[in-house]
Amino acid sequence: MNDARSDFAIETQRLSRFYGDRYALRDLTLAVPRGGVHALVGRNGAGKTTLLRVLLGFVGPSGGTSRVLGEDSATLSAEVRGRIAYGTEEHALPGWMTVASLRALHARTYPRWDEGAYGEVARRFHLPDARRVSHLSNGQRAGLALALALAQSPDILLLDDPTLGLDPVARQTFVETLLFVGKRDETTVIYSSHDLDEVERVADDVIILVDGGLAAFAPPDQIHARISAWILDDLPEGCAIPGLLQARNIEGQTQIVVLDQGADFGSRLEALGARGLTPWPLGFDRAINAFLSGYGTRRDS
Amino acid sequence: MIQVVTGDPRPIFKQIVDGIRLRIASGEMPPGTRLPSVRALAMQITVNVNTVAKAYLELTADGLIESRKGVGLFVCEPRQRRSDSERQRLLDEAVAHFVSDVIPLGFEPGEIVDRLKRDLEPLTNRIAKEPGK
Amino acid sequence: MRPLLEAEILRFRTAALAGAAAHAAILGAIGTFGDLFTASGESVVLGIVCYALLGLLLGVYQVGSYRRLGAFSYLIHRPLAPARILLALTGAAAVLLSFVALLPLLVAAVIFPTDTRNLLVAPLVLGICLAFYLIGVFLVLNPSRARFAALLVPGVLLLGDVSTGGAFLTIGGVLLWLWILAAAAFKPDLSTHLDRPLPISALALPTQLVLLKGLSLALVFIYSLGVAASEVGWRNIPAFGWNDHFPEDTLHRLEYLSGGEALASALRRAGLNPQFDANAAFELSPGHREPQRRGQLMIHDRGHTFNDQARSLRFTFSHDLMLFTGRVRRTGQAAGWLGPGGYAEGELPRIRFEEVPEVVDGHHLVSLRRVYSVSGRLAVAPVFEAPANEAIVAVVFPEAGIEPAAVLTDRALHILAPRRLAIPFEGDVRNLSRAIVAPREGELLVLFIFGAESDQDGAPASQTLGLVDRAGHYRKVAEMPLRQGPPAWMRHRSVLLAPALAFATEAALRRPLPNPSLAVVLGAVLLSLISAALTGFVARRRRLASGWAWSLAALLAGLPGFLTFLLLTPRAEPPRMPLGR
Repeated sequence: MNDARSDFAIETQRLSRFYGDRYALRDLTLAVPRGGVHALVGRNGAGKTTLLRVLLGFVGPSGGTSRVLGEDSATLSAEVRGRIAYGTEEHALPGWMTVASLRALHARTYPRWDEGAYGEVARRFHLPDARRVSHLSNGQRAGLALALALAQSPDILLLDDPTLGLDPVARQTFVETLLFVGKRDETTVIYSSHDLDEVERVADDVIILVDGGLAAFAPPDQIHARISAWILDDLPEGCAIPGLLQARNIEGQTQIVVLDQGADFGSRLEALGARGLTPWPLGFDRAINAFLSGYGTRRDS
Repeated sequence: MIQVVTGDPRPIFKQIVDGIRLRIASGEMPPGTRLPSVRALAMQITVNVNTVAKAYLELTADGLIESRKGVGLFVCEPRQRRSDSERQRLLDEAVAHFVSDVIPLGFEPGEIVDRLKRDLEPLTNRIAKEPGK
Repeated sequence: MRPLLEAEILRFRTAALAGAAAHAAILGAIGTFGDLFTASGESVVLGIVCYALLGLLLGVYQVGSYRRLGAFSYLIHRPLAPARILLALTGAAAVLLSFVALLPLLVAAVIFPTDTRNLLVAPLVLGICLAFYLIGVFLVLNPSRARFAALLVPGVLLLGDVSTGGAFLTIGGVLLWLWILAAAAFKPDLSTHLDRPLPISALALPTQLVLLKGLSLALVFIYSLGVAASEVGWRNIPAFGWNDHFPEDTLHRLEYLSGGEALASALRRAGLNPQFDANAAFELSPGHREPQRRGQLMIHDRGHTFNDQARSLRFTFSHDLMLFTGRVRRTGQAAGWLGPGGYAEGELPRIRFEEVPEVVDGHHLVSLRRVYSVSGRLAVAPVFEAPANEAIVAVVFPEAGIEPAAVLTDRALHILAPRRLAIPFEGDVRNLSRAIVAPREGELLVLFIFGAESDQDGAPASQTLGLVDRAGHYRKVAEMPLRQGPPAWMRHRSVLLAPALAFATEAALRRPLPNPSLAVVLGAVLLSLISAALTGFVARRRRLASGWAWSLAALLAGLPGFLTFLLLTPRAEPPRMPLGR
C-alpha cells in the first residue's frame, strides 16, 4: 500500500502531459520535501498550472507518475484531499454564497479547522461577513481563498498564481499573510508567481519550469549565483559563447548573460578574442528573466 | 531601517547582513542595541523567516551580534574578535577584491585613493572615538 | 456531506419558493377552471415536458455553475468521496424538487377531489424530475459526444406497465441507471471518458438505439430518394407521389388507399364486380391502444370527461367510485353522478361501471366489453355487449344513431346494422390493419386487411374478402396474400444493422419477432463481422486495454456498436514521449 509518511510532500517521476500537439509537461522528475515555501516559476505555458492540476488529479498524466503525501494523484483518497489546500487561479469560489456561509461550510467540512487562523486572515483583508463572494473585490476574494485554505491546517498548500491581478496593497497583505499567519512549520507551500521580487523574498526554494521540463530546483540565492552578466565592446564573428542565456546590443556594446560559467569566464572569453569585458551585476529578477528566456535554447551543451 | 532593495545583485540575506554591519560600523546601532527578533524583522521587511535567520547566523558567526537566552539578540561590544593575522588577511582579501573590481575602470590610482578617503574619513573618526582594541 | 447538502438547498431557496408558488398557482387555476387530473394527451405530454425541463435545468445549472466558474475543483477537492459529494447535490435537488413539484401536486390532489390514484402522480412527477436532473448533471460533466443518448433512458417509462406498482419499479430502475452514469462522470478529471464496464454499458445501450434508429431512418431516406429518382428522375423528385409507386397487390399500396378504394381494389383482384355505394362504406382499425384499466396511471387516461351542454355540467370518471362525478361548469359545485343506470343525485347509485369507460363522440361510452349510449336526458342505455372472452378495440357509429354500426373486438367483427352478426377473424388483432364494410344490394361486403405487424415477416400479410348474404350468413369469398412493398433488405434493415438489438427491441415492444430470409441473415453476420473487425482495428490504434470487449460488443451490436465505440472511447493516445530534446 502507500506509505503515507513518505519523506516527500510531492513526488513526480518522469511526469509528462500531452495536449493535442504539444507537451505541457515533459519528463518532469521532482521531489519536494515537507515544509518550506517553494515558488513555481516559469513563462506562461511552461506547465505550472498543468503541474498543479496533475498533482491534484484534475488531469491525468500522459506518462510517468505523480504522488502527493504518499498517494497516487489519480486516486487521492478523501482523507488526503482534506489535508491539501488548493487555491485556483482567479480564486474561483461559489459566487452566490456569502463570506460567512462559506466559512461555516468549510468549518464543518474540515476536521482540523482553525477558527483563529481564519479570523486573523479575514481581519487583515477586511472581509465582510455578509457580502456575497461575487461582490468581493479581487483582493478580498484572494484573501478569502487564503483564509479558507490556511484555516484548514493543511499539510500542503498549493496556490496557482494567487497574486495575479491584485493591487499592490492586496498583494503585500497576501504575501505577509502567507508568510506569517497560521502557517505551521510542517506545511509545504507551493505557489506559482510571476513576481520575481516576491519570489526572492518569500521562497525557500524556486522550482523553475521551462517548456514543461524542470530547469532548476534550488534556493533563490543558489540559482542567482549561477547566473552572471558581462558587457563587452567587441566580439569576433562566429565566436560561440559558452552557457549563453541572452545577448543584447546596447549602444554599440554587447551585454551577455551566461549560466554556470565560473569566475574564469572573463579570461576564457578574452582568450577567444573578446575585448572590453566588464562584469555587470544582475539583480535576481533580471537574472531569472534571462534564465527563463534563454534556458535550453541557446545553451551550449 | 534595514532595507531590502529590488534589483540588488546581492542575495537578500547578504543585504541584511551588510545593512546591519554598516549600521553597527557607523554607530547607528551601538553595542547593546537590541535587534528585532528573527520573526519581527522578517515581518518588517516582508521576507522569509529563514532568510533573516540565515543573516543573523552569519552575523553571530562573525561575532557582531550575540544571542542572550530568553532575552533576545544584541549588538556585541566591538571586542577583538579576530586575531591580528586574520584581520590582516581579511583586509588583504578585501583590498585585492576591490582592486580587481576597480582597475578595469581606468581611473588613476590617485583618484581611487581620494575616493576611498572620502568614504573612510567619517568612519575613521568614529572608530577612533571608540576604545575597543 | 450534510453541510454541502444544506448549503445547496439554501442556495436555491428563493427560486424554490418562487417555483412552488408559481406551480401551485398554475395547478390552482387549472383545478378551479378546468379538470386538473383528467387532462388530454397533449396536455399530459406538455406537463411531462415541463417537469422534465425543470429537472434538467436544475441539474445543468447546479453543477454547470461550478464548472463555468472554474470552481469545479472547489467542489470536488474536499475530504469527501466524489460519490458522496454528488449524493449531497442530488439530495439537495431531491428536496428542492419535492418542494417545487411534489408538494403542490399532492396538495392539489387533496384539494381538488379526484381519485386516490391521482395522489401517485406527485411521486411519479418527482421521479421524472429527478431522472432529468441526473441527466443534466451527466450532460454537463461527461465529455463524450454520445452523452445526449442519456436523454433516452427515461423513455423506458413509455414502454412501461400500465398498472401503478410497475411504474414505480420502472422509475426506480431509471433513476438507478442514470445515477450510475452521473456518478461515473463526477470525478476530478473531467476530460476522461467513462472507463468502467457498468457505466459504459449504461451509456452504450441508449447510444446504440439512437444510432440504430438514425441509421435506419437514413437508409429509408436514401432508399426513398433512390426510388424517386429512378421513377421520375432527379429533377422531379419534389413532385414524386409515393402512393402510386407500389403495385396494387402490395400491403404498402393498400395502406395509402381509402377504405372504399381498398375494397374496390380487392374486389377487382378477386375478379368480382367492384361497384358499390362508396358513401355507405365504413372501416374500423385497431389503433394500437391498450385498453383502459382501473387504477391505471393518469398518463394513460383517455376520454374521461363527459360534457352535458344542456345543463352545463361536466362529468369526470372516477376510478374510486367507478362512476362519472358531476360538477357544475362555472361554479364547480358538485352535481350528482352518472352511472350505468343513468343520472342520480343525492345518493350514490348502487350500480357502478364494471370497467373503465371511454367517452367517444360526445354521447357514447365504450368500456372493455360494453358500449353505452347517453341520451340528452342523461339516460344511459347499453347498446352492445361483447362476449365474455372478447375485448372491444374499435367502434364506428353512423351519422345519427344510438347504436354503433359495427364493433371490432380482439377476436371478431360485430356488425350491428342492418342485422346483428359476428364475423370472427383469424390471427392477432394487432396484425389487423383495418376492416372495411360496405352494403350492396341488401348484402354486405366485408374486407379484412392483415399485415400491420408484417413488415419484418414476423406476421402474415393478406386480405380476406367476405360476403354477408340477405339471410345474414357470412361466407369467405376470397383470401389473397399481400406482398410487401419495399424489398426484404429494406424492411429488415434493423436486423442487418444490429441483429441482437433489433430482436431485443421488437421483443420489448411486444411485437412479433423478425423472420429474416437467409440472405438477410448472411448480410447481418457479414456486417457484424466487419464491425467487429473495424472496432478491433481502431481499438488497437487507440491503444485501448479492453479492445476485445468492444469488439465482442460490436459483433453483437453491428454497425451501431462500432459507431458507439468510436463515440465513447477517447481519441488516439499521445505519441510516445521523444527522449531528450
